[in-house]
Amino acid sequence: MREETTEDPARLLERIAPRGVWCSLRIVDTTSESYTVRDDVLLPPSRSVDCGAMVTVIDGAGMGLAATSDLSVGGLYQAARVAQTWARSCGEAGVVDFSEAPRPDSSGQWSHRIEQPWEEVSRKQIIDRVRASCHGLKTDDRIVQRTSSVRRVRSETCLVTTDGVRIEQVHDRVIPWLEAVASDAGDVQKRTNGGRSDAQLGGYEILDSTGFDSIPAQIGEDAIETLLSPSCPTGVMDAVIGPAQMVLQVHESIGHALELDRILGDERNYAGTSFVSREDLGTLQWGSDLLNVVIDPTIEGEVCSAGFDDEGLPAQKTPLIESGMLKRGIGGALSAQRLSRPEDAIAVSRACSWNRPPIDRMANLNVEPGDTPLDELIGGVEKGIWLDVNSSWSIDDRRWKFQFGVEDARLIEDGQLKGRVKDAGYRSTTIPFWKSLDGVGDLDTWQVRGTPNCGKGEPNQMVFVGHAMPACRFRNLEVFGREG
Amino acid sequence: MQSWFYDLADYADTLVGEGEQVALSLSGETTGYARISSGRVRQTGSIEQRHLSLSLRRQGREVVANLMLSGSLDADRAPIRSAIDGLSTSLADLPEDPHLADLAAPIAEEHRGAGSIPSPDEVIGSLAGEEDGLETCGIAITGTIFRGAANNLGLRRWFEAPRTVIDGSMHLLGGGATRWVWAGENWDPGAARRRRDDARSMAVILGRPLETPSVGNYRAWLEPAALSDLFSPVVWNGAFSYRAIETGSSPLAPLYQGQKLDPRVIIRDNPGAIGAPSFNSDGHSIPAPIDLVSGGEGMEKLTSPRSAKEFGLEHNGAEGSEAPAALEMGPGSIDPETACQQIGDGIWLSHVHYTNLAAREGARVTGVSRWVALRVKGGEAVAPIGTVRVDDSIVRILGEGLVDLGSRTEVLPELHTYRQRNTSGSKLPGILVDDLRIVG
Repeated sequence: MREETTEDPARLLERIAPRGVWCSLRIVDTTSESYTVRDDVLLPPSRSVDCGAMVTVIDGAGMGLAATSDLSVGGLYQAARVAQTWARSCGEAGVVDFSEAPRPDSSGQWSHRIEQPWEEVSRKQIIDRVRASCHGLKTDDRIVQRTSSVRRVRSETCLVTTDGVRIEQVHDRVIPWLEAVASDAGDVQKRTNGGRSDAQLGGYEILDSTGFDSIPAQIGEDAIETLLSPSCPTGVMDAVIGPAQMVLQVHESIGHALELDRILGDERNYAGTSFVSREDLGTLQWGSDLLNVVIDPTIEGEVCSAGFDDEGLPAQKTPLIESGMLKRGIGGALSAQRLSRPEDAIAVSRACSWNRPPIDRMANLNVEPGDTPLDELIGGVEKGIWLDVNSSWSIDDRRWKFQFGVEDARLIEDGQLKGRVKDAGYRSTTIPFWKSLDGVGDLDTWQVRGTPNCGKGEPNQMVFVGHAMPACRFRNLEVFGREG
Repeated sequence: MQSWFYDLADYADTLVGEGEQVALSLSGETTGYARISSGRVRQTGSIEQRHLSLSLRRQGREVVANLMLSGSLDADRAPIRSAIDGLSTSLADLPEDPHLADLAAPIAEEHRGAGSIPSPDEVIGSLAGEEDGLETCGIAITGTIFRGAANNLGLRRWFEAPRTVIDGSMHLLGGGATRWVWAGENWDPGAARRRRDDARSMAVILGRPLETPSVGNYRAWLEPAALSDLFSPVVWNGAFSYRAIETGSSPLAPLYQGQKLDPRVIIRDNPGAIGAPSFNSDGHSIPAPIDLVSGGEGMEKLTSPRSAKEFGLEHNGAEGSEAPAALEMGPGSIDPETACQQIGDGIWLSHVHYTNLAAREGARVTGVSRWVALRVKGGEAVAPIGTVRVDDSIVRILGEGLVDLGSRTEVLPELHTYRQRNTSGSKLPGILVDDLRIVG
């Protein structure tokens, strides 16, 4: 961490905390580096250091926050007083009596395995590799723009409280990105490595495991093939949805719908609410009995694996939907307490950085693999479509009515994958869609993926979310092409 | 903060080596906020941050360091010195950049907005509290936004504005909600209260039973915010970007190849119209206004210094994304107060939620109704319509489908606060369109 923060955080907290109040200090030190090559030209590389602190004060019934990039003792001391002022302004007008809010009670450290640290790789090696992958996207003169990039983000977080709790965690995340834009006769088609679902936890080895060097040519060829394909037919048909599109499907129509802060109404002014009511928790048949959804912080390489959330709740694997039945929503300790379901608290209260407070977020939200091989999923479709890799997403503010588009669509006839089609989309509503699930792919189809771009909260927050997904089959889906 | 930034810039100038150039770009804020849920405080607090982007160049190469600084000159010299040392070493690893544009010219300019901001109690009070039969939600956010640009050619530009945004909504207990926004540089609690009262009165009609239209095409009035919602995915997919138009990936590329919108459509990039900075993050001037569409025809394109260098053009101060800093659309002749009469039989939409591009061809966008969405019959709003999906072409909506534009334009500040508060926004009229496509 930065020079000013070399003093032990617990000692710092002792020096800055106002007397007679509960106080926490959360220091987040994020370093990142980014390399982008567009059409074989390296854009100026960047390296970022973003270190700051959030002071939380609970004074009486009120809670106040102060985030500052001034990490000197004086700066933090001042921040603590500002937080106390806000806490007193809040007073008894809070959504709860914050003096009764759950507080962390265990300490610990968490980090993850890194096979090859970025620090061991020279900048020139990275640049050469990104340039090579960009070059590899050029498979045809009709590829009019190629972009290859790698972003690495390392976050070190330390949370200390006046109760003596101390939690330290380290996450090293990698986001590889490959994009080919093909154009001919006024038509344009874009293909990518995964529609922004390729974020992973780990070191430089992630570039190997995600095929950063080996898949560019395939992406380029797919872009041309898509360009030359007919528009997707319109109609009701069976669909097999691949793991990359399942990421978006589950994220939008299960994850956000189950967030407790939406159910409580906190998000009503921005991201929206949910069709799920308090009474649905534990009682709603969400989907077919093949559907099993979990929050799982233990998956190696998944971006939100962790030991704790940002409010200090220990993380563990927790079922959300079992055999299609909704068991619980996605919320941290405070939201669970507000719903009078404290036993449902999950370690998902997360903040995007030091300058935003923790709120209910998806962490690693996964669909458990089933036992059907991919060829059987496809083999069970007489006339239908394969849909994968998201290109467009839109869903209402209650998370009920959705319409999504994909980059990768192929017709299925008599149980066999046939020709590619372009501009494919589908629309449905959440519960009927999940009840039409009639096949869940086996472990061979299950992919650990992740997105760096999940936004919600006021002030707005963008966080990483992990999703491990199998391919799945759905019956009677409304599918359409260019004419919509 | 201005003197601190200029002192840092002077200090950075002393650190560059022979043949090197340095450029600094600052975005900072001192912010107070209260997030309100059901009339009560969910979170409240402050944010102080100072994000500095530092670029070093040598022999046609550039590398960038982004730093979060403390605001203390003594403390911040060390990370700047360390960053410049590191950048200088890094430059040796880079190939020459053929599209590296010149640094911004040495202009000295400053803008300081004057105005008062609310106290912490006023921030909370602007949204908190009980309303008869309604729950209030939202965020009140206030404080000063800072932008600065400097380089060792002598550029020194500064923008500073106190900004308050009250972004609230009122929710009927049985479903349905209205939204209101007050934004300004001089806190005016009376004006904010009037907006809140207007939103409360709009909520009355939302208590009526839903009358959801079936799938089909409807004559529709889109409020300025709804038009902004529909236009957003077209903009972030490169609508007016020179580069995107050249590659064909802009959904509006055909406008620059002969396709036309309705001749009454005028679109500009005009930061001055909304009080946004007149320079981009590197300090390049944005000539205002930039005519993007005039008489329904594609005119100028937003060209960043990098694109200009690559394609041999003059740039017009666009950021690397080549998105408008402040989209402005000219007015038409419909009095917005008469929108329902002008609709006759159709729908009235205040917003369109979670819009996205459904197909690049025709700039087809999709999204769902949110906040106030009304069924209009016989020239009167008769019922809320609930949630319907709009899926239509922006080229059609602003072309053959356009009946007329509203006579009044509205400033819509960009409300997103990802990473930091925003200075951008738009200034748009409402529009009346025929055959707006509802697909579900």
